[in-house]
Amino acid sequence: MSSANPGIDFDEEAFRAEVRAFVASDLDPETRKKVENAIYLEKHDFVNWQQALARKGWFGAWWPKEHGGQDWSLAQEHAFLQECALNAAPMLIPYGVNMVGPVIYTFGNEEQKKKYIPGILDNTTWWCQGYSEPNAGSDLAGLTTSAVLDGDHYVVNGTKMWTTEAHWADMMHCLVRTDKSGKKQQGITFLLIDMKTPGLTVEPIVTLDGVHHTNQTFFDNVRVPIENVVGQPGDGWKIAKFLLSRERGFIADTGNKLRMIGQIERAAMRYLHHMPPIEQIKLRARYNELSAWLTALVALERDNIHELLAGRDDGISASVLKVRGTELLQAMTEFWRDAMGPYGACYDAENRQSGLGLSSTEPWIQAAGVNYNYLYGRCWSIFGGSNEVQRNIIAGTLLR
Amino acid sequence: MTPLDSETKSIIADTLLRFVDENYDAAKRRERLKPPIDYRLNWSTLAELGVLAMPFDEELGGLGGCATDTADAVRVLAKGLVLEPVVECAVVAGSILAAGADADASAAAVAELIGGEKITVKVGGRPGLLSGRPGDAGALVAEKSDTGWLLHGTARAVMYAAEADEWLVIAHQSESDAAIIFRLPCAESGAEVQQFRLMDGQSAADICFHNVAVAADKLWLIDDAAEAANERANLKAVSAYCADAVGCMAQLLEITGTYLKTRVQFGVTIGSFQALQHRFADMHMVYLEARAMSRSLAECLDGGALSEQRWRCFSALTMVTAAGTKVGQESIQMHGGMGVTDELIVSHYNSRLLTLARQIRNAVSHDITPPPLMTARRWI
Repeated sequence: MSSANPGIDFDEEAFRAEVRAFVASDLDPETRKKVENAIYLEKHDFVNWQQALARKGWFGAWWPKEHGGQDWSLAQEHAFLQECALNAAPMLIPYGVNMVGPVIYTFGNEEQKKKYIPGILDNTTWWCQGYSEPNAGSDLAGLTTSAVLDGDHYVVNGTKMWTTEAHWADMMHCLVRTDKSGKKQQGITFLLIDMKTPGLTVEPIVTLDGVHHTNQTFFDNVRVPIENVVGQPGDGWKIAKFLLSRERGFIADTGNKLRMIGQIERAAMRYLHHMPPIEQIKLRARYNELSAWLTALVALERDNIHELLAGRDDGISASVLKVRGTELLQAMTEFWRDAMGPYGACYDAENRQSGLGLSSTEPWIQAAGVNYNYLYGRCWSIFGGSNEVQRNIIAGTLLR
Repeated sequence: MTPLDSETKSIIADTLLRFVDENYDAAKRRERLKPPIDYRLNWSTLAELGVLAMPFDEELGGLGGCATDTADAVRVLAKGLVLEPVVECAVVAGSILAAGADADASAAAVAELIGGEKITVKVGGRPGLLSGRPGDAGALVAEKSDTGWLLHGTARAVMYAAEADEWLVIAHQSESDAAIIFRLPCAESGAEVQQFRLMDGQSAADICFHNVAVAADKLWLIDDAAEAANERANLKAVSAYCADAVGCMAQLLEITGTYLKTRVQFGVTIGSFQALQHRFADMHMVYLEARAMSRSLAECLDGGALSEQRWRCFSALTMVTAAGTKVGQESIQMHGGMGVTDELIVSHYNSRLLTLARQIRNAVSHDITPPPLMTARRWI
């Protein structure tokens, strides 16, 4: 069916098969096992996979040719991401290739392109993102971290929240306030900061799953060279909007959900027959509903890509996919816990550090993988613009 | 099958919209709902406009529309809340007529349907063939006799059965349990007909056969061919009814959106309240999912494997009926007092959505299971 779609400029079936074969041959089996079993991924799991993709010429292949990409269409990028996820490859870390990279080739100068693009594409530079602050979450424009000009440097003071994997990062792309006089969306500047600069400290924030994914980063008179401003001072809000629109492009993340529904079915099949009949009926009905919902989400994601390829953008499709995609993910993980029956509440983060995870024969160890997905799943409706903000955007557009 | 070209499609859409605007003014429709309701009022117009020819191949005198084209047309027509059996006759029964064992008889039957001369509807053939009243098995059974067949059993709440000229009766054969389809003129069928009105003004009836003798020449399809034709007709029914529901939801979202933007309470438009904004966003989101699922089902009917078609039918049933309930009921709620009046079209769309949900459930196979483990790929 997929081949009948207009605007598709590649042989989708053949390409998907090629991606599957590549994941099978070039993804480190250890990493694949971790992804399949919900075991904690380390930095090298992500880096090695992204470098394997780079060797194949597929890392950033959706970038324009002139900047080192292959001009993949949205449809091809979508097929690629879906196949990778479905075949248990780790997610692509977006901060470099999908965020600061496009910002630099779109808004940056020649020196910046020469300096940063190679490290992004060959994965020798790990980037992190410094946007949110303690008092600027959903209301991002309220950010106050300041950058004051002092000769040929900006002096940065303040703090950034939710700087995910900052403890692994070499560089941060950061929104700072360079002017307090105008509207709060004005006076924001996009700055690139070396994580080794004196005065910069990273403090871990452990999330509800007991894992150190994210951090708070503090700036105490951190001196950043003036040439690290991307675009003009004051362009920050424009760049942030450009970025967030890209971040939400494939937010429905259907590849992962298609893989997860299989994991959920395996768990359900294992425990269902031990449950009282009435509970079995409820769980089976719910499983069917969730599967139907996922089928619809996959169809909606496809619809959306076809609309974008046809040059139509209603301005809210990314918000819709974000809300419904995250709600489905959460519903799936809630169901998954229920399907674990008496072991549904077992969770020890230690049981995810190594070992067999979801494929363990010990249900409490298996449950660690399940409940990790449940607990971390709570984050999805909050980050990337909370679902409440997305609903504001949807209604605001429809009722304008 | 490939969809019609975009120019033809836009002509069809324009024609249908004009038909709705000219014949289905909301006030006139309300007037028409006073009994007795004439369910054939616009039938000849629909035939003249070529609407009935839409889903048939060109060699049968049709427009050559595939399931996607039919769904698109039904979605446009949905605006009118029409009271003629377009889907039941042209899409569902028509699919079985076009698949007749005798090619000449098929062509003649389709020609009569397209010309608007005869209304044919499918009776029975609900997946599982169970239904109805307590203590009554309900299934239609055909027993071989010396001169043909004896038909026994009841088909429940069959759409437009009392208004049709002709029935395609789907029964089990008593010996083999295999399917059999008869083509019967209603007037001489010898069946008992109990007609009743549905909540949206459409008509349905129970059709009861008490050992009715059916001549051998009334046989239309038998065994595997009958089974396949019946399933195909059911799949097309689900797709068309889902498209109808999606069209109704689109109308309700437009009407309700306009109301939220214009209705003033407490000195401001009610659409400025965040509680209503978020609920309206929810309505829009489930509508989009239902629309995507309905489209995906129609596309699949045009080229997917049968197992995929069945799965998408179940998915569409799940998503479209849930979305229809939410959009219909929330639209009433957001209109406040006006929402519960008979005068405002909103409650009529809700009634149609509820009727469609019943129709969709009736046509979805009972033994569908989600694709088994590791075949999630099929959903892409």
